[in-house]
Amino acid sequence: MELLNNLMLGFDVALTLQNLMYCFLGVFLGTMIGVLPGIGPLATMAMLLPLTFILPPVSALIMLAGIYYGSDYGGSTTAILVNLPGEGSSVVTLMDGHPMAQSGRAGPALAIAAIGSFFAGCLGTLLIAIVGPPLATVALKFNSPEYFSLMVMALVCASVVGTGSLLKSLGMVVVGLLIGIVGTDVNSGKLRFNFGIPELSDGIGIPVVAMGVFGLAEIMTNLSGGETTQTILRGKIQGLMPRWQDLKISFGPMLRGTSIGAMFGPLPGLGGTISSFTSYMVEKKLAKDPKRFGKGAIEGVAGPESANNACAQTTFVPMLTLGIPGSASMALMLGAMIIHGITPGPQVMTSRPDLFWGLIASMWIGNLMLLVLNLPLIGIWVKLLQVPYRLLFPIIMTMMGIGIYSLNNSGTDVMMMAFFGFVGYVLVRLGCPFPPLILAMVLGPLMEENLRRSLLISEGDPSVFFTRPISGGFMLATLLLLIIFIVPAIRRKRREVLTEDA
Amino acid sequence: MIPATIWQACLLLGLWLAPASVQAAEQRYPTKPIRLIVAYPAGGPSDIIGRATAQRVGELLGTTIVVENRSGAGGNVGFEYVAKATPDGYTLLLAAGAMTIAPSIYPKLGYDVVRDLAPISLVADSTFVLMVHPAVPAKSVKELIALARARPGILNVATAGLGSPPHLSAELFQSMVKAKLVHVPYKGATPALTALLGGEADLYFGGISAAVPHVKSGRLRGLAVTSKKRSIGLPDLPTLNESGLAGFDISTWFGLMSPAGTSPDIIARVNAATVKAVASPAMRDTLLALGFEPLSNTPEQFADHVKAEVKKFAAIVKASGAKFE
Repeated sequence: MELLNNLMLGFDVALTLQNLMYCFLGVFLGTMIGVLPGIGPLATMAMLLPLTFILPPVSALIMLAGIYYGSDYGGSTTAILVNLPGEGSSVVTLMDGHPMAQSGRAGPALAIAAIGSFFAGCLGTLLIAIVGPPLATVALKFNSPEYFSLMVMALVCASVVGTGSLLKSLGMVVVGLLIGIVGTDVNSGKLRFNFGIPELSDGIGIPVVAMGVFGLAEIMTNLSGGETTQTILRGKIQGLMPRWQDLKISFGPMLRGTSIGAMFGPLPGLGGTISSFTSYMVEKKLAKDPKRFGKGAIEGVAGPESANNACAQTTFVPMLTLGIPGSASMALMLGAMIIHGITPGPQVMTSRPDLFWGLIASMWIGNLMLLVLNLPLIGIWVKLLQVPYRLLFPIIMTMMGIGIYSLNNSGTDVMMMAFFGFVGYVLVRLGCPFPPLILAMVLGPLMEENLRRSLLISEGDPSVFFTRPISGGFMLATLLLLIIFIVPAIRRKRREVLTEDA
Repeated sequence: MIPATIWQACLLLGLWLAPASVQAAEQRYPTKPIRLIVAYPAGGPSDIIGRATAQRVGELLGTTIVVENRSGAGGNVGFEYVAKATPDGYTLLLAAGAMTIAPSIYPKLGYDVVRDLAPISLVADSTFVLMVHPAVPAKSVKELIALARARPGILNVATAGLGSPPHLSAELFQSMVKAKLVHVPYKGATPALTALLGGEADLYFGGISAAVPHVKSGRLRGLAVTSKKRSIGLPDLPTLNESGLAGFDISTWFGLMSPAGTSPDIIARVNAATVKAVASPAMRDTLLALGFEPLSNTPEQFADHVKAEVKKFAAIVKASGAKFE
């Protein structure tokens, strides 16, 4: 009953005309700016933050939250349409989203992304309302060994993420790990592979690499001849909305994606990329015909999009209930709270219930608005696919340049994107898949940091990974996964050998 | 940011069209928008302080001050950018305490803090709080010192990375109390604070604004502040200086600087506007909310402060052996 009362209070706050308007404004601006390649949620929020200073605190936070998931969703649009991932999680969306667009099914892909996000948003909001505070306490129990074991598990799952040659996938994992090494060693302060360029001492950003190897390389490949079409579209546009069949097969992936996202979201420092990848791998593993993945399987869009949005929602949990920002975007929300004179922390729930529950209610409303706003836009987006290359590519490249430059006002980043575009082109020609590279780039530095920190604290004793209950649980799960993955492969091999003998 | 990019284009156009002699331009300063470089990403405390300063000082100077974030290499990318900018008063820097540590820990910097930058005025300063996880059985600095001496190499001290003020505070603490702590570096202040809340680390010298809610709610136990004087945010906490560690004084600050060679007339004008801005109630409130205490001074006092800080940190860093290479 208390929950119901709280939610009532929340909707009372969120449904005032003024707050509805700011929520819409946030979602709208977020989507519009988030669509620009390279400008992810963090950049969008930072850009629009000053706008919210003049608003009353509750409206300001509602608008910022709207901007946050608006831009998070906007990133998927560019990924699906033009194969341009602005952040790590969009890399997953484009694996099947872009092939769908090429074959004329951009409408259903965009729609299922919006529907999946809404679905995850609804469940995520409910989850925050019901189990937010205990969830945050559990998240705090995650120390370095737990993070490390969790990521070992994710990496083992990654073995199924690549399409095609296993050797090439593994090669890409190594390249990704190597790119992730660039930067400053946290423990010793040694600079690694920075070649005297100060910008490199912070490492190479995911957007820089992702936009280079996917976006730029794609443009180069398209222009390098051999293609008869002069637009992205390879087939005829087949309807703007998903068919009943599409929705039916997407339901399971959405539900699983939401659970995966909600599991990763409250953990500070992990972010959406890992949950999107995990969801994709799970769907591929569960699919009756895994070969469809990578060629336009709608489950490959529905699952990861739901996971990403569920993660985006539940990232609010530690911020709202404990005052710990789990990501840079949440740190920015926290900063906004402080500016408005609200001391973040556990007391917000009791001292400012209007703000706490109003924000939660507005999340649900914001997700609904996102759906209402984006479904009609699909028709316009799909038209974009018919724009000829000679017009489309210069526009995209200009946008990419602006987007990457604006991340840090750094020309070095733009040059690096160009460099990775060239690298990407060579790798495309060699038939190497990029998703394992991006995943390794995300996981590598995190794994290294947590492994070394765990050992530093345990005084070099590796048994911490097995003796701590949560960490040990992950290690056991990893072992089980390995068995599940490997045994059928061996059996298949043996059968092949047997048939050959016969 | 896109708006900033558009502004830059306008600025470039403005520069190109400006025909007047330098002398005349100085007298009419400012005749066009000023850029304020913030050496940290948008959204953080430095960015918020930069934007608040830009707005107030801009109003008082009768122009717009556009904030531009140029982050990287612990702020050094932005510091160096301004150090090498044209000293015409149209490129200012939100200088930060980190620049007084940088010369001691970076092998080669592209600029010299004292030689290449002209101080205008301090804007605010802030302190760090020595906090322990509640499971640590130390209720005071004295008890913590006793504990650290009794169990050398057992207590984990989280830091926000090598050469960060929390790290140097920890190093100074160790050398003053002659006890060994395990240095556990994190990538920034937020993960370090999270680790302390989760009990992975035992103690942490954290920035006061993020510390206040946790100390007040009892999730963390605050023992002392690192500055010479007590803080407005947590007035009940003693300083380390008064808790038996005489001379312990680590704090951080923000201020305005300009490239060296800027005309004294322009510096004086920006200084006057800054002093007035810092005293305004709106700016005071913003600064206090962020855990910073409003402060302003003369360019000479600011220059002396920078020199003293560089010297102080050089000694601490040398004793600790921290260095990027």
